[in-house]
Amino acid sequence: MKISKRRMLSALAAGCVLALTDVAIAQNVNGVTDTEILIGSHGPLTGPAAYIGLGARSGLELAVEEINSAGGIHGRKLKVLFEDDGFSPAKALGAVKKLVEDNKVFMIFGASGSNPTIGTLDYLREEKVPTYVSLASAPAVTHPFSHYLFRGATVEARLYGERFSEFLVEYNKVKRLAIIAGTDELPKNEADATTREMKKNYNMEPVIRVEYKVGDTDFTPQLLKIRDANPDLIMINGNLTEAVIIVRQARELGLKQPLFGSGTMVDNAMIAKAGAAAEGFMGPWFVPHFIDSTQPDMVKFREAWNKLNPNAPVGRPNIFDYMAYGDMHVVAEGLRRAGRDLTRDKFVAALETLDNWRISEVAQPRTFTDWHHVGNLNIQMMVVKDGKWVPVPWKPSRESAVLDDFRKK
Amino acid sequence: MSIAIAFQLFIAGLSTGSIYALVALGLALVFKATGILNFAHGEFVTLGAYLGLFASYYFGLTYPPALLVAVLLSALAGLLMEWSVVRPLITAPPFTVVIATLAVGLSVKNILRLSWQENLSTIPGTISHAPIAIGPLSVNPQYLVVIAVSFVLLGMLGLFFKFTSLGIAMRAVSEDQRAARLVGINVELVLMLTFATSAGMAALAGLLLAPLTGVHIEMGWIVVKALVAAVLGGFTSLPGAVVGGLLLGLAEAFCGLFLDGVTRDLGVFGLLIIALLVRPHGLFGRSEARRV
Repeated sequence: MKISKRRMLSALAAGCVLALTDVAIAQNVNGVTDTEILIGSHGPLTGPAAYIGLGARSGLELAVEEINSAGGIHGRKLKVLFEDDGFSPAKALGAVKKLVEDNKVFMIFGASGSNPTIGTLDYLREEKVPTYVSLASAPAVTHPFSHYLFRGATVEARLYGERFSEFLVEYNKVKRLAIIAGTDELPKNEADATTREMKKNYNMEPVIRVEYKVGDTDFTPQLLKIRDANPDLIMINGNLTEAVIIVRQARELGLKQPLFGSGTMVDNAMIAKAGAAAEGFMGPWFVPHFIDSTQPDMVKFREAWNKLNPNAPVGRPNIFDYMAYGDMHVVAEGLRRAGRDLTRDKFVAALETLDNWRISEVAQPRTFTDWHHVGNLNIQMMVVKDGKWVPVPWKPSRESAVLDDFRKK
Repeated sequence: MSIAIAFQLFIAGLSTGSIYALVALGLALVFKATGILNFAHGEFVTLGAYLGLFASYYFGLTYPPALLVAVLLSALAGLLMEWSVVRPLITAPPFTVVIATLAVGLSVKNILRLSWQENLSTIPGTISHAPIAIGPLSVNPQYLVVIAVSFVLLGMLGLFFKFTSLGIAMRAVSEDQRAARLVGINVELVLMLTFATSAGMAALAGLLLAPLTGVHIEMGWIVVKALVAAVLGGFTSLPGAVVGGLLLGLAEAFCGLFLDGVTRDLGVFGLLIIALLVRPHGLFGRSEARRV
């Protein structure tokens, strides 16, 4: 049968319209083309907190490289645009606006601390941009509940308070707690949450709380005040750079009390810099195994990481490499479950189907639902013993009340 | 406040103040000689510390020889900066030269960042942190080293400026470049050596600070405190910069005991404002008389 020219031309026209429509559908979703999904990310690459952003970016890059090498997501490769926010809320907001409005990214992967992240949340909620926050613990990420905001690896401040207070009071038998906390968002949240939970569950209050600013290099006045207060244990909240000096100076001033610190301080650099003063130092850890663990998944991660980063400085990979790596795989799984016909709402709904999911033992499992987006409620405690970080044989006995706020609704 | 606590704070404050004094003196030295506020000065503190780190990691030098090497290399860098950046711009508007020094500082910082990123490092082989017990006091020996080295250096510099022909020439150039040239002083050479001396002192400050704070890319921020110290002492007075640094360190230590981390700086800068209201040209500065 001979097909008429007219019918052939009609079929050809219809085919062209369909092909263009398929492309157009993909192009109508920001950051999604036939071949690529564009993801925006921000974190501190410069300034005193740059160890956070540099670590997270490398972890992201490794995950993306693995995903793309395995063929991408439904035939699309992932591409990440990473902006430096200098750990500043204003710069973070500027970075996010650029990524969303100029670069038209599909989603935002938050690889910054609490301070800068808070600066972006109102905008991202308003613009309904799917946002996966890997590292910031500020409660505002998940409270109030937003369909588009998720928290991954790091736990939120309230959980710090619950776990820290239980660990300090029940495991360490603390009755007199001293707190030395930085004035920025993370240490403030940690210290506030711990104080609140201690009061609520044990009717105890810290005997003293003193503050310091990021960049301070001498803590003699604060430590002398703490010495006068005669605590059982000193909790240090803040960043590694200051903590190393505080730990060393505390021992120099004759403070022999046990020391407990933020997760940022659970790092081999604490031992390297504070030396013998770091012995017995305790802190929380957010992935199942420590950085130098010989667990096979950790070994595999380190080999792959070192291959991608051949000239890495001492102290890398750090915790943020691991956290961002695990979370990028979570994002990829969400994209996979959303299907080829990808939209932002489908991606969000797909993430909400994750139940105890993780790529490997490099990460804690993540669970999201349609009524809460708090991915991780697990932390474990570590201690420096004989110059190495080892897990503390302690598990919390209290159930976390973090999800109660969402259940009431 | 007990005497023991006061003495503990005094040692801590004097140690911090000694670092401020070294950095402030370098800043004032260049300003007095050239009228230029060298915004790269803070990054010479960082550069000195990283050169020490480099010397110890890659050549296995212990702290004392690493310190010497780093100070000499930093002095060379200062000399190079004067010859390649400041001198060609000497006839440009002063603001242009200031921005050029800022650009040099940012370049140095970012070059260091390429290799070392933002990690906190330690120079191995620094002296033990085991505190020295003096009665009820417990003192980190590095504090005493900082104080001793700073005072010895400042004393040597004082003798250098008073008794050596080069030192006298540097003072002459800082007072009046034209008059110095008329009496046969090689002003260009003296300016190069001034920048070299200033950079060397900044590097020494960074290396004395390194065992206390670690080596990190933001060490140069100390120049802000040094600037305050130089203003307090009187920007045109070298002894004033030293005294300003020491007073600033002591004020921070003692204010920290009575005020918290946030309001401590308010207290310190409040004292600075009061001091400047009483002595607008700084404690040792003098107003310039002009013929009208």
